[in-house]
Amino acid sequence: MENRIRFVLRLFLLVCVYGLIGTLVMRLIWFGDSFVFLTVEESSLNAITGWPLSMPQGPRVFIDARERTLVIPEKRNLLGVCLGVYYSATSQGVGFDERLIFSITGKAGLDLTAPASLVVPGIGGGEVELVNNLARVVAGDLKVLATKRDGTVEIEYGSRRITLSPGESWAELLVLEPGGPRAVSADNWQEELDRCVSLGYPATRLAIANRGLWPKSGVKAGIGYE
Amino acid sequence: MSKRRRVRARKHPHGGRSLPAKAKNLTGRAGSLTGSVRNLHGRAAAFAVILCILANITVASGAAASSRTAQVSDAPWKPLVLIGEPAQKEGGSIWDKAGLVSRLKAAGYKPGESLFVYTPEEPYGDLDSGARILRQLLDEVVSATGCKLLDVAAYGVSGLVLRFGLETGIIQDGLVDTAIMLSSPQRGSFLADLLHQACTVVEHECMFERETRYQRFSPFGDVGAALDPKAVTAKSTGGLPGSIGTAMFSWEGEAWWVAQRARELYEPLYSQYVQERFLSLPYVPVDSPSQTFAGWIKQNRPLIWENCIAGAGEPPFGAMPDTALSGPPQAGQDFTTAYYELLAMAVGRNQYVLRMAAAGSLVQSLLSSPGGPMPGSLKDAIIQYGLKALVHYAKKALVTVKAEIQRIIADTIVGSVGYLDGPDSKFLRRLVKEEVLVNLGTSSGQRFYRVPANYYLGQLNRKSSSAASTRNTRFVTITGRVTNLLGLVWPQLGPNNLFCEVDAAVPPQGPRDVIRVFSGFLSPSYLNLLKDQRVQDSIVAMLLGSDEVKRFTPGAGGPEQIPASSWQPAYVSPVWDDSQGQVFEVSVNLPSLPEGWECAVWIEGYDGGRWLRVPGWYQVLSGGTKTELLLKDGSYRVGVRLVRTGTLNPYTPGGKVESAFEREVVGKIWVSVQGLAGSGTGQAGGAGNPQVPGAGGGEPGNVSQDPRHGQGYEPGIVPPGMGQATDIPGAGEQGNPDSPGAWTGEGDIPSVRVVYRSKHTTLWKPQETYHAYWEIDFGDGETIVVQGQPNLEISHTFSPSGRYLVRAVSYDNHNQMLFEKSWHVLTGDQPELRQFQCSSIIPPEVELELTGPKKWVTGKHALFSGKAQWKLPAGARVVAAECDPGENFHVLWERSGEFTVLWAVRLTIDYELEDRVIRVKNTYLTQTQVDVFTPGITQ
Repeated sequence: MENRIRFVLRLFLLVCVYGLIGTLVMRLIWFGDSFVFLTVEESSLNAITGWPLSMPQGPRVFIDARERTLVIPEKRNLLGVCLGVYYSATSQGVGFDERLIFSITGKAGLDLTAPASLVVPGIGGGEVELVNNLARVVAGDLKVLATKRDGTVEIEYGSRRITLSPGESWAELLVLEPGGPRAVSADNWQEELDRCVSLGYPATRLAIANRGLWPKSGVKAGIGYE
Repeated sequence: MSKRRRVRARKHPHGGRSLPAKAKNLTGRAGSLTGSVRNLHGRAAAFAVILCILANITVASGAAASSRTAQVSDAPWKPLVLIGEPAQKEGGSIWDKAGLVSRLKAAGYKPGESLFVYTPEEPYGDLDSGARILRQLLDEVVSATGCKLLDVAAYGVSGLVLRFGLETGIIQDGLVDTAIMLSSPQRGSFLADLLHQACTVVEHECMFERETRYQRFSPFGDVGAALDPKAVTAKSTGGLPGSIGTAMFSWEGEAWWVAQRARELYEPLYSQYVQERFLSLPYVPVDSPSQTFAGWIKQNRPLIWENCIAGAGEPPFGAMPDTALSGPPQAGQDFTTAYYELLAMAVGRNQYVLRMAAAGSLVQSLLSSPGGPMPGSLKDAIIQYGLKALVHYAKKALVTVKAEIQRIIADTIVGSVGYLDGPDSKFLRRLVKEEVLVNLGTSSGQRFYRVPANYYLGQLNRKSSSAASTRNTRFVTITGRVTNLLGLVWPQLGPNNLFCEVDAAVPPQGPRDVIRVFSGFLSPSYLNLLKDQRVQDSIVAMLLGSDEVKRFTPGAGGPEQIPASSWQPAYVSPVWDDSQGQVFEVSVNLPSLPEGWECAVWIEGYDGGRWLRVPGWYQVLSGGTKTELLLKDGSYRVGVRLVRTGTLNPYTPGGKVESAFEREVVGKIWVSVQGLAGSGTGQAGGAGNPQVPGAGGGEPGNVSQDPRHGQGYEPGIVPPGMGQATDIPGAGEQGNPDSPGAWTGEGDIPSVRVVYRSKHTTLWKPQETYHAYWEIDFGDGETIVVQGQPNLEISHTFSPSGRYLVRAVSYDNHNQMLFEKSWHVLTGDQPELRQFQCSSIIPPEVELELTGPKKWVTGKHALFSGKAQWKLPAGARVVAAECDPGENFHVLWERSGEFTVLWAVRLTIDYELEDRVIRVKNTYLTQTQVDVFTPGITQ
């Protein structure tokens, strides 16, 4: 009996290992020299309380969607990678968070509800926090559940499921009103935004774009490095 | 026997003289130079401090530079003055601390006699006043030593002040033989730019804070409503007054102007940018998520960009005359209008963020703030609304706190820098970069935009550039280059040493100037440049070493290849003997040069104890050309070096900023020397140079006329504006495969093996770029398209009392925009007819000739020779001519048949159009048919 259990366990382990290797090999064959590139932009209306004095403008990752190139700070091994997710968080045009994730499994997660921070020096070595996290209005965390061979991605954002084929995008503008968060319609976003500005309501747009399959050769090591 | 050695021998007596007390005191006036770390601020400062700690670890890379330095051969015969940066605190001089003084003593320099160390105790104030301080110092050294020729080494900003003095004549030309400038921001420093911009933003933030204090703290006040984002329409041209750029322009001060521009234009624009770019629906993915505010304006408000940034390269009060350099200019005359617009852009976006942070009144906060149930009791209500009121006022107070903190930080940083005397320091203004790269964050090739910023510094360098080949002082630039980690967050920053970029440390280069750039991972940075042994070696070698001269024995072989460097001159001289009447012809041939570089060739003569360029004997040649020079006396030698004609800080399509000088660029040139027997008279041309000793009233050499146009062996037969590719001598006889001259494929001549008919001897495709049509927008709603007419002349009638921006865009034959020209039109009470003229690219007339056999056999190399001639339109010049497979090439067929032999020439042409230079690369093809037979059959 013990032997049988041991045999079944071994068999199960073997199937798992082969399954995993098979999946990876399959992904390697499917995606080869390319990967699906996803951009997630979180833009808030008033989550920053001041322009940082000496913060040089410009993010660390440079994306050129026209040429399908990506300039990143350091070299990365992209063997087996089938998904790239770039996340940027801005408010009033000031970037305060930026992340780039490469995934071999085609899955990725972004904890959008976690507090972000942008600290500038204060008097006597103290620090001043410039991000007001209460003014970031997001529906929950974001997960990329699956990446398909044709470049389609399945995303879970809060309680919502979103499927984006290459070239497709999705966005939502959430306003935090006294009654709670409310999604703004695309027809009257300008009026709603003007109202938010005048009343001081926080508003955040989360925009996801599936940029399609990008060549791995277009990922170049960074500015400033030799 | 070189005359140099003879003359040097008589220089030594100067070293033994004693100094008066005043000059001796110079050595005791050394101040500390610890303030340099304070140049950095904010994050950069913290970053730099870490690097400073680590920087003592010298990483031995890039040692190739110092290995090229000349051998130290002599004891010093000229006094040397070492000038540090102004410092406010006492301490040892930077030269002492670095150990260079001991090193120089060991090399023969004697403090107080031939070595003087000076550290200014007070800030220079301005370039002008600083140069006068240095002149006084040098005058003291001259009167103390009696020697009228000095060497000077100046560190950091003192190097800029020294050069300013030399360029403007405040310090007499010829007094300084070698000026060594270490890490000097000759074209400005990125840190000064950052600091000046930060100070401006802080100044305006404090103004904003004061102005809105009442509104922010009043229960019913609100600072958010004052801004109308729709105030700037998509057709707005930016609202610059018509008088800007002229002496008629009036303003109430720099701060007033920046505040006004920020409030009226850039703050509403920034509001539009935030809404359209980040918050609009439906979401349209942009090509470049990293696009900046400036990039957005350029793309979405092109009229504003064109009017306020691209077309605003002069100061608000117009261009200064050259003579204005000697006196310090006022605000409004030193920076360009475009730079003021960039400052207003920074202030505008800061104020938008502040306004958003401070928006909302207390009443709104209490009644409209989200969250929380209705209070059940008075106590709950007091707690709930009290907390809301506290949060509201804390938010309002944060604006005040932040403004104050930033003001204190900015004042502290500026106050701690030794050479700055306050946040309004004129010296800080002078250090702003001559030209800034604005990060647009858009797609490849358009990531940055060059904006002229420091007009005053730019004017100095333009003047310097035009005088570079005539000045008598040799400039030696020494700087460091460490790993550009700052480039991670600041992509427009080129290779640098944490203070200034490499290209900004190099002044316009004269023929005899020398550049040394020492690279390392963390060292040598700006702070520890002098401590680097390679730097010290280089300084000593530069002061005491002799130039390496390549000696040619006439008739002892064919042309020899010598390297022409971008960092230093190379010298060529025949081997002279004692016989009289010797004349040598030095032939310099430039097959091809790296892109963006040309080659300077000149004659130097020995004069007054040093080698000086002989006036009039200086030419700049592009690749594919050649020249001959005649030397009649051993007092002369020929110098060659590469000179930069392309951009100093080019950037790659991927967005990496480079520097033309960060590495030594070497071009291979061929030189041959022929003795001209019995030609002591009648060979030389041009005016004599009686000032050159040894010339004997004759002429030092004969330079081909107009070498820029690519003369061949016989100067003058090609009319100006025409050129020809170089002929390499030595090609064999053509026509008969069995003749002794038939080539067998050996040597450097490229060979092409052909098996199939589809095989081409070149893969280059013909391509030409030239103007095709104009698209003209008169700014009053009328646009027209004009086909052809590269020299455009057009007139248009404008309605009265209007201000129009007229734009003419030239498109090439591939439908790509070549360039854009704009005019501002201001009309009076009557309709006005205006004429506009503009020129675009006219294709050159190019003739190719390919000579070679018409019939050939398989298995043997056939030699083909190509010749290109071109005639360029006015304002155009060829900067490089390349050909494929080669000027001479072999073809070897492996089977019989009728084959086509192709030969291609690629010309890189610079067109000078208005205020810009457009470079095009045209490829031309010619062909010839060859019948190839198999020998057995034909026989």
